[in-house]
Amino acid sequence: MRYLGKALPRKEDLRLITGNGRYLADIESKNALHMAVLRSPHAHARIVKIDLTKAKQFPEVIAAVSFEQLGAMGKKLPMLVPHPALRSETPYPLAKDKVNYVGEPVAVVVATSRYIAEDALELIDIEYDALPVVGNPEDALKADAPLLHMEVGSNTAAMIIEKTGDAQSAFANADVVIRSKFRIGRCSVQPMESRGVLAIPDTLGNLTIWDSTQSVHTIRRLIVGFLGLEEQQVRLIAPDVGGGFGAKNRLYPEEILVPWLALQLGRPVKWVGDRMEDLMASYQERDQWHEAEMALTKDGKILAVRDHFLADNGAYTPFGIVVPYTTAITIPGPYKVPNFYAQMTCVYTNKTPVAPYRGAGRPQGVFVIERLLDLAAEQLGLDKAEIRLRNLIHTKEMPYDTGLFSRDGRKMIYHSGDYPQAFQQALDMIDYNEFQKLKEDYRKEGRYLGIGLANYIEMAGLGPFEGAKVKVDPVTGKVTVSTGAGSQGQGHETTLAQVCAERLGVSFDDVKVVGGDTGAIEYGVGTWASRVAVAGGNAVSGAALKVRDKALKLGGLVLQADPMDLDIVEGMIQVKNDPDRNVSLQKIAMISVDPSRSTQRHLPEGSHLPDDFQPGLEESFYYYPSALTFANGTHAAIVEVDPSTAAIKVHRYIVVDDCGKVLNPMIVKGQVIGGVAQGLGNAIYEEMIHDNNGQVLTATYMDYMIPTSMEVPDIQLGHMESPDPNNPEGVKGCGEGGVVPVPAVINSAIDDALSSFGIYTTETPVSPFKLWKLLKKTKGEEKTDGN
Amino acid sequence: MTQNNLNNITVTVNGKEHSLSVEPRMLLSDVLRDELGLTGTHVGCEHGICGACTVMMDERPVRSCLVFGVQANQAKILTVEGLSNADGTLHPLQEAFREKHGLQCGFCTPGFLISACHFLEENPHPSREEIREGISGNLCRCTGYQNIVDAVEMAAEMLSKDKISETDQCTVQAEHPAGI
Ligand code: FES
Ligand code: FES
Repeated sequence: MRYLGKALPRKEDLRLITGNGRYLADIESKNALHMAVLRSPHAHARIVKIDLTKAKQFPEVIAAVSFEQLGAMGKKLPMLVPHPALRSETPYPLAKDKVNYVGEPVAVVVATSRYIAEDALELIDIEYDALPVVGNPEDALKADAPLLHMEVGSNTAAMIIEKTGDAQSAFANADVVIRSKFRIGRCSVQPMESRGVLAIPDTLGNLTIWDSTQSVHTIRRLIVGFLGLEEQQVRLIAPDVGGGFGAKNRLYPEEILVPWLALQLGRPVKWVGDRMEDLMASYQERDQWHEAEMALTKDGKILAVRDHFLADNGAYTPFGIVVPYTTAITIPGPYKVPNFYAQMTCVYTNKTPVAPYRGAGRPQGVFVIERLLDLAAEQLGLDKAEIRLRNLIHTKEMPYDTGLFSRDGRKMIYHSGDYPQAFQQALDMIDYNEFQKLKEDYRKEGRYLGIGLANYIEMAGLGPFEGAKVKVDPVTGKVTVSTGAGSQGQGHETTLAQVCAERLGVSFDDVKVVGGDTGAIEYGVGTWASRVAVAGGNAVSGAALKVRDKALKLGGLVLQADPMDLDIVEGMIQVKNDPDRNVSLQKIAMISVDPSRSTQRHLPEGSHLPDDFQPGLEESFYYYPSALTFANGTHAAIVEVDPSTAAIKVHRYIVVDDCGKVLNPMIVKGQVIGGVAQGLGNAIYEEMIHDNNGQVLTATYMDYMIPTSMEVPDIQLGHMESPDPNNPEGVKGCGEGGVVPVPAVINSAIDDALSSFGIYTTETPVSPFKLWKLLKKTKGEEKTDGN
Repeated sequence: MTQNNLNNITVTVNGKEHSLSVEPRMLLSDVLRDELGLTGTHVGCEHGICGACTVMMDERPVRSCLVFGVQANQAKILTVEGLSNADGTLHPLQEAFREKHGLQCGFCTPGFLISACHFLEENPHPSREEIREGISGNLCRCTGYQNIVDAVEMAAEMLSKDKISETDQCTVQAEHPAGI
């Protein structure tokens, strides 16, 4: 292997460290107009009247639009992931009659500058009639609850059951049953670049749309469908994207409004969301309320898990039930759970809609089972590591069929990995056996240390497919890889180039990767759910091998050798035993497109290109994963809590992850550590808070706490590598594992630190403030039997 | 509402002097990005928390989203575009960020580079803890900071080996052709 598995520095970095990156806001468009959005200040209200007259009276204001002016565009946004059990509601591009969450777009103004567009928003005369607010899912389901969507007839969007085995009889026959309620708070995604769209029309009604999205092909398809255009009329490009993490992976109203206005006005229109808009109106996640129970034997074997949970979905279901569904099937994780029952109810409330955020339902599932295991261990007098070891699936039990199905209907079967080994490695790294002594030493100084553990499975490699086009330039010999999956910082320009260089046999320096441009490749799916290494990596590999095959065939003709005897090394096709007999890929590419002149020079006399030959060294390959991949790992942390202030400090954080074959270890490490940092935000600091009227109290970074370099400790990584047997490159995906188990680990460690106070935390984030309130309840007193 | 009250200002950005007229309410970040086309300085929050918009102004780091363009009249500004040498050689911090994988999406990176540059000038031999504190005014959502700390550590070492040419990088005075 020349390139795969190597920590090669990233190709994308040079432009990004010199200020030459081009993010959405940086894209210049001469005479672009700027759109600003008037957003609802109410969580639930009827719109009585909107008067745009005053806003329109200035010459710099080119248009002001509310629902009424939308005309044929006044229809609901398309639903992305339908499900038969889902009573789906999606928003209109601008609110019709009624607003359902704070931040919902109500009107837009287009002006010659953003400053003026924002001024004009203030002049829109709008009258609301406030309605009673549905603030949480428990209230939403009460008989007399106000309804968000009359057409749905209730606030229940979907109720679904996922199960395997017979949980009921397992519970009836169990030695021990434990139960707990859990509350997982609502987080905002917060990529550092907020969302934005720029649409540039030509005079024929075609559009170039620049969009900070994770899925260019999908979004184009949705936009053209909505606007009644044809696909080839629109080229959609995601430039450098400043982080996505799921927030930029679906169709938002602004992505309809901007292109529509550009067509209407015949001028480029640009919208760049600001931070407050992003905190209020970019889709959010987590937010679930669980009532879970676990049945065990007296020696700590799990017999069954049962969970009823409510998913607070917010005001619309733009991404279906993906989040709660993923939670349900994630709960068993790497453990043997022979009987399982999960009932999820997805509920409409007057909050920003929920859609997948990094981890996408998985952190909630892991939180539930890991917290139950901690509770069970305590009840049974077992060590918390021991109870986990007793239940982990062993390699010899693989392939292990969980009995559950993924959201795309595939069986959840684990094929490879050594879960007990990963767990053991983490225990060793964190000196688990020495910890009690450390804890006691600290206690003598009046300090409270606790240890937390959690295991996880990262289901990845979701389809349906990803594509790649590999092309050798006939003039320069350089190679371009085009893929539908753009990057939001994951480093695809580097990892996918490594795959191509390796498989085709060219220099890494000669490969350029183009992603996130519908003009570069016909079909694509996008970058989400840790799917690019699996679906995209194997697509690049497939396309590179096709080019290689073709090049060897023609190379054989030119070199008068059997293609089987040829090899490609750093861009040269050469005879294996006689490398001096060679021809460059560039020359082969040239011969293939310009045979009239080239063949006479290069093809041996009397020979010609085969009749079915196609021009160019250019091949596309679309890879449809045949099975899901399951990465796995263990996290462990040592946390100190000061019971007098409830301050939480993470002393050590250990991750052992196994994401199958690693394309670039430096990039995997970056993904994992970045994930843990977001997980620590979710676990301790970040929560969207609403008052009783559904008003957002965390609409700035003064209130919504993103962890800084002071809160995230150095993270130690251990590593394992068990290739995935079902895809040619053996990869599994690593984008989400870092974030998934963190809340479970932190709560576990906090409980351990405060065990003498009898604290068992059931909420995440467990902010210092919440912990302080809990400690106050115990009156800050240690139990006398504590140790 | 109309663009009246334009004020004439002169700013020296990355060693090059610019005279322009701006509305008094226009933020320095917008002056740099929209009027001068220097889009390397990013706007992440517009309320002074994220640090993405950090630039050097008269030898001090400022959040350009909290400074009005008119306040920068007569000031000397350094943005990320002016950080590397005029001949294109990267600043040690830029080298180190690339080497240590100190960036993912890169959106926060210009702000980190400028903050770190100033920090290393004040504290050329920092401990890891001091680095963490030194960059704590900048948010990054992608990297988890660890690699950024590694990068600043590495840059400190590179700079201490090569004191003469690099220490005044944060206060470049000479005209900087790479800047525009
Ligand atoms: S944009 Fe200035 S501090 Fe965030
Ligand atoms: S690299 Fe993306 S925000 Fe820092």
